[in-house]
Amino acid sequence: MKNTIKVERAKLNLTQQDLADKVGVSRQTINSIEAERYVPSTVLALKISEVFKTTVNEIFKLEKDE
Amino acid sequence: MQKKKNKKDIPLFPAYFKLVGLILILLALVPAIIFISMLHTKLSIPAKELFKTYTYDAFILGLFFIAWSRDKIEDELTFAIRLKSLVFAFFSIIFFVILTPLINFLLQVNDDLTARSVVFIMLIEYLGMYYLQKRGR
Repeated sequence: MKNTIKVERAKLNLTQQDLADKVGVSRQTINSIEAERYVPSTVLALKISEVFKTTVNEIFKLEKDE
Repeated sequence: MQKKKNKKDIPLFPAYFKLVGLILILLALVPAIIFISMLHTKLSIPAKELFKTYTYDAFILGLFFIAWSRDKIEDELTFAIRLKSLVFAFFSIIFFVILTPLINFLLQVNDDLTARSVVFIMLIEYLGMYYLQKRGR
């Protein structure tokens, strides 16, 4: 699953740690999501989208073979 | 955003249990080293067995406390890593138990697995896998 967290973070000038603090997870979790090594739960995805004031679908996109 | 207590959260010991575990392991190791180096010949065989059992138990309990205590930040990723590590430890011990008699036969040794050694190996594998995966993040 692709995501645009890095881009969205850059828009708001947030570091991984800032975002992690806002959604209540570790920086490693945000790093793993950005690197597409970990797919977040629905709850976490919703929290992330809330920080960026957008929808989950705008941030997370399924790849063709998924 | 404050994290609420989730129904899916696994019950873990508080973080300070890592320290308790380390102390337990040290308390088990130090007498064991003294025993091996100095008291080896002075104890009777039942006393040696008892000493060995309690040392092993303290070591296992220490490892268990370290393995099952909270990290500084406990979130869904650590939960996923814990689950993966448990699965790895569980499946590998199955192969270990199956392969041990074969290895014993090939090496002509009679070294049966005890329940204690199985638990010990599982804990070591779990901890190794957990910290390896955490470091890779």
